[in-house]
Amino acid sequence: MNQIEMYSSSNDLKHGLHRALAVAHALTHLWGPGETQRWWSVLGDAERELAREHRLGLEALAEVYWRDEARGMLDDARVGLGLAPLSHDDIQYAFRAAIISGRAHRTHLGRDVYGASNKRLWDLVCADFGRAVIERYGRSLGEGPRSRSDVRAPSSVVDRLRELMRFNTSRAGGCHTRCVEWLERQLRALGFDVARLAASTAHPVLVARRPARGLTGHVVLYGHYDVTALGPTHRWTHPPEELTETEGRLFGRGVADDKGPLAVRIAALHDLTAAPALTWIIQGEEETGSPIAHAVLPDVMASLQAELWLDETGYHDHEDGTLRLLARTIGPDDTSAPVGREYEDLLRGLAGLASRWGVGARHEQRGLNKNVVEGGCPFNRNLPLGARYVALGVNDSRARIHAPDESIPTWTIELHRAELDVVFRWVDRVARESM
Amino acid sequence: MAELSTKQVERFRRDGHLVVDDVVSDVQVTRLRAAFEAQAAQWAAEIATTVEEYLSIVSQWMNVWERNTAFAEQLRDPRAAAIAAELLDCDRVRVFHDHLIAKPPHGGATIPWHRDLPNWPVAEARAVSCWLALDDAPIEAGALWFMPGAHTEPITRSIDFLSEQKAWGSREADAVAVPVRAGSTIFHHCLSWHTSPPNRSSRWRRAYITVYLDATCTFDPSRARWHPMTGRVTVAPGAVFNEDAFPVLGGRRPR
Repeated sequence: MNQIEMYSSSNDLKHGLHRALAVAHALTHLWGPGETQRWWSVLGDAERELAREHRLGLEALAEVYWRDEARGMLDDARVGLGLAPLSHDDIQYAFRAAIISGRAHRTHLGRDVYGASNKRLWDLVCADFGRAVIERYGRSLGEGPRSRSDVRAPSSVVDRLRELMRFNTSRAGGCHTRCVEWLERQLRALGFDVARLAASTAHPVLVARRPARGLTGHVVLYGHYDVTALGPTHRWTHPPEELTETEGRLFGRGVADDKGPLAVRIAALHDLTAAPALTWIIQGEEETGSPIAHAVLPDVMASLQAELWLDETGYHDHEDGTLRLLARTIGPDDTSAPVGREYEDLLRGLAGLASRWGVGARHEQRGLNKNVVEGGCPFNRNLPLGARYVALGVNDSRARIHAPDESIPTWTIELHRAELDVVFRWVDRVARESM
Repeated sequence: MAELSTKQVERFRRDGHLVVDDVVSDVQVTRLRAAFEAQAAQWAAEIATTVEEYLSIVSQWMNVWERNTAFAEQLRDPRAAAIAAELLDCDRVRVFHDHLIAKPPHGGATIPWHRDLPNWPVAEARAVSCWLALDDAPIEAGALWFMPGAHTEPITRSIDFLSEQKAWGSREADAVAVPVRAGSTIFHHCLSWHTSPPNRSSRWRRAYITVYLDATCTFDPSRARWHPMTGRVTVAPGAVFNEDAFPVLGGRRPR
């Protein structure tokens, strides 16, 4: 949806038409508890699998675009972005021209002027819609499909995660100080000022702050550098203290809770040049009752005002990759208030982004389940009234945290980097609009 | 007897293009127009549309010579081949492909400024196109425009017709329109910069183009990102092109 070139105009057009439907669906559909948003669900059975993988042909796409539901959806999404509704007669003609030109090329090497018919249709459907989507949610939302299979983890994540795993930060591991020093170096390289709270203890809380870079607003992130003790190693298929990449996953103790998510976010922040102000709270005792964090975070968090509070990670369904958007607004007595229209816009953008990977999304109005954590999670407990909370990240339902063969999928790494970009741009817009 | 005078050859080498009048007879032009009309009707039927709709959308065809006798004979025209050989200063020429372009009345699109060779899988800059007007092509009908002498400048990457424009700056004023009459030809170098605007007249503007290579030119798939003829090449990179898809024609005549 973001670009069309002469040599790839047919493919660029096809991807653009699929993406326009996917994004329009995400921007115009609300989904409730127990529902999953899948843009291809508006299509017939025979079309769904092809659509999910951007393999519908131009003729099939023309039929979809001519349906009342699709036309209404596209127009509503455009109006929501401040654009005029489409001229559907123009689109019908443009589809016809692109189809005829394509047939002529396939049958007897005839054509229009170097993809001009493809470009005309792309201009009508994708050009201004794509620009508006990019302006609101970032570039990634409009780009082409991504695969979930055979995805190698990037070295920028693998190398960092491997280093993090060398520090045994379980209760008796004794490597907390070296891990803290490593994190401080990484965060300072990203431009953070890092403070150690309870610095004299073996497991200090890090509070890293970075001023805004090109975007307004403020995001608070949370994470932890400790891991649970290693149980019997014979129950592991892969060596628990080494990072193993296989089956499209990264295996090892702590890779899902929480060293993988930490490494992914550090690598992502190297790539994302624009960001709002960031405060990153990283503690070292989440698995052992968080005594220091429970003591210091109430004051730290009460002093912060942020447009969004981002938990240590988030989850997908392992089976089909569905993105679980655990999002809520903090109400009185830690109840969950409705997320509200403004916040829904972020969730819709994230659902639209996830559709690039051919996965659906569902919203659950709750936080990460941390009842298993001794003493509860001090981050979740101290979220201020009215705070917008989201759990978003690389884990999936096969992650097996605190258990043998703990792992994260590799395909979610690139997605999470793009999610952070969408989050940052939404925060910027919300902050600007509240000024 | 050579087809061109020394002055004509010198002009081509200076400007990168050369008009040669009356290469094709009126009878042959009429025959080619009729062949095009019959062929277009057949093409439209092949993809289940009317010829009117077809020609309002589809305006270019390649390898017409492979399916149409009239164009096949024109492609092998000994005089055009001899002129090409004289301009390339080679003994024999090879057909790379042909190209039929039909801009309908008050129709057609701008072909942006471009050079041909960066789009071709051909290693050497030793090729000319013979642009044969099947209709009068005055300026208002979308005549070709050239930037004289620019063919001597270093080879550049290809232009994306959908998103790029060549910016000439102050050189824009040096561009020349080259209107021609039906039956006349414009031979232009494969590195000449050329463009053509839409047809704003009430008549068709059709042209049949034959691309001639020096017969010793070699295959270089790295030159072009994609080209429809690449799939017909059966020789290895660095070798001369295969005869079946890229036939060698006669060459120049003695002066």
